[in-house]
Amino acid sequence: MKREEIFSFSAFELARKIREKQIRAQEAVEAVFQNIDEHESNIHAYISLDREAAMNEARHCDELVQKGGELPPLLGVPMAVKDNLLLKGRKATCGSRMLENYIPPFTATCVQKLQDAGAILIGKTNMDEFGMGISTEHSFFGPTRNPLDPARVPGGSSGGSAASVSGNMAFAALGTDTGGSVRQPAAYCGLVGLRPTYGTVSRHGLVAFASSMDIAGPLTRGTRDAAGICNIVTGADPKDQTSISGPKIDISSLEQATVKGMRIGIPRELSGESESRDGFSLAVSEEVKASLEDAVRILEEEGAQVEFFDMPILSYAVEMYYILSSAEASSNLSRFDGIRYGYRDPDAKDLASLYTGTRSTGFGLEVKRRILMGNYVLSTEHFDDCYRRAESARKKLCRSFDEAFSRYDVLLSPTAPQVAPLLGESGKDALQNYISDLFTVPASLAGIPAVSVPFGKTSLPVGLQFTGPRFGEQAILTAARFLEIHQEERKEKEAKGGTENA
Amino acid sequence: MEHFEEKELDRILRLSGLSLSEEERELLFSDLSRIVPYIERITEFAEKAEPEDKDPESSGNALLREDVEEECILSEAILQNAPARLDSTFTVPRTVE
Repeated sequence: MKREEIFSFSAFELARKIREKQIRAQEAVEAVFQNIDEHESNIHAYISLDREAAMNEARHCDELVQKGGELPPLLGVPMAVKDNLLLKGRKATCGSRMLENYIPPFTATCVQKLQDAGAILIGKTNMDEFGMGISTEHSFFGPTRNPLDPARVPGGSSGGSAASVSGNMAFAALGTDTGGSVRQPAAYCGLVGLRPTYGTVSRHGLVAFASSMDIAGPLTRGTRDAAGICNIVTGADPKDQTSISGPKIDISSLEQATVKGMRIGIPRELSGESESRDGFSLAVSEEVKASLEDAVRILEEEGAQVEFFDMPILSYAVEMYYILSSAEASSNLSRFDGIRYGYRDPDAKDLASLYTGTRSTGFGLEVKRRILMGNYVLSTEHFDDCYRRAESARKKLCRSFDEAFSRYDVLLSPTAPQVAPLLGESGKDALQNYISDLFTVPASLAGIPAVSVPFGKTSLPVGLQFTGPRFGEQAILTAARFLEIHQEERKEKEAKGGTENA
Repeated sequence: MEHFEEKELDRILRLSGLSLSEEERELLFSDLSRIVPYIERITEFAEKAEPEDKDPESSGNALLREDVEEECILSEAILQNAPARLDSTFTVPRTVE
């Protein structure tokens, strides 16, 4: 089978073709590594790859197919996982010098579930150090480029996972999302990125950034792959006390998704209308606004009730997020002391210089900035003013979402304020980068599910985000699938038109 | 809203177990001088924490597992990641002269 044809399949279509003996797992893995050989030196989606292990696993998959019997749902599908998810015996660097040579002694629960489902894990993907960043430029191992335009970033922090799928160097990938790190790279790379309800994916084996918000989620070429992978990796885990089982997604109902009668709310604060407050503003590009308007028109034409509404507390979501996530990060990263595991400053002379030297030379600039912010808001002088108030505001935000979901089935907004920026652009102004997280951090703070789906007529992809109530994955994926179908039909028409015109 | 000062940076550097090069210090001081007033705008919305909002999330729904004996990760698997070790222990620089 030709490589182009192999990559025309979704992850679950490929698995079906492998089960039906129309293609061998070894062919699929070879096709992936051919693309890696051709593009990886330019894109740098991966921190580590294991071709030999992948080929061995593929051979084993093909043997299982020959034997017959019941076969797991992702058997033989080449997938990638972000480098902050542990896979026993394979390096897990988190994009940091601090863990450059760290070899985990166990496998993350969600990664184990993928393996149990038959996926072949071909490599660990590049990321902003410890998940802190929006461009995958803050990796100790160098930046990742966007396969759709290598002059641009793939987004972050799961930029390597997004680039691996977008560049046909994996059929799907797992990323992790603390403040938008699955959804925003999905938007920049033209993929579907799903952040499931907090707790439904075990955090066991996910290296902690902000524990009250961290969760793994799929980056895929379509909503049905995202739903299928979500069903596989979710479920309560005795090794994570915050984990919980939710309802599984009915994937068959996504085939012909309709939004007729669906109530869709658009918070004005997330509608793309730039508003300056105290001199700070979020510039939303015209192409993002146009994609949102286009989606609203199409959703209404299908019979959805779309309504703009006010949710003023959303204007403070970025402040809440950076106070709480930095506080949790500074606490979680205090474990890196140069003693028990990871990097140690070779020049340290005593215990104090060992600790400070290791942390100062082991962490990159963005991580240091977050640790400093975290210790600022947690220090005695600012704890009540900052941390307590942010905690209080977070509860109010959750109540505001509860109230919104009493009136709407899902909420709609852009995923990011612009298309993927050029490399080097997003490193210039740290505060402006933080403000650009406005669309994704509210769902993270509230622990509710959100999905980014590519939509629009722009040359570079724009992501639109549907957010749902707790365990509302079915509703958000139904809405996303509807736009996806529309987008596919539009592309087909354009292709036909192009052929006719030619 | 307080003005972020150099001595505040020194204080949180100590708390963080970090030191900065001159270049890093200049950059981070400039960044934090803008970021700190920004995040402190949270006081506009939540003037003070209300009692019912102060408590951490209820742990009533936390998943509790049975206390079952399992094979634990062997010390060798853990120690293989230690930056310096002696037999089955971590080693650190001398702490007492």
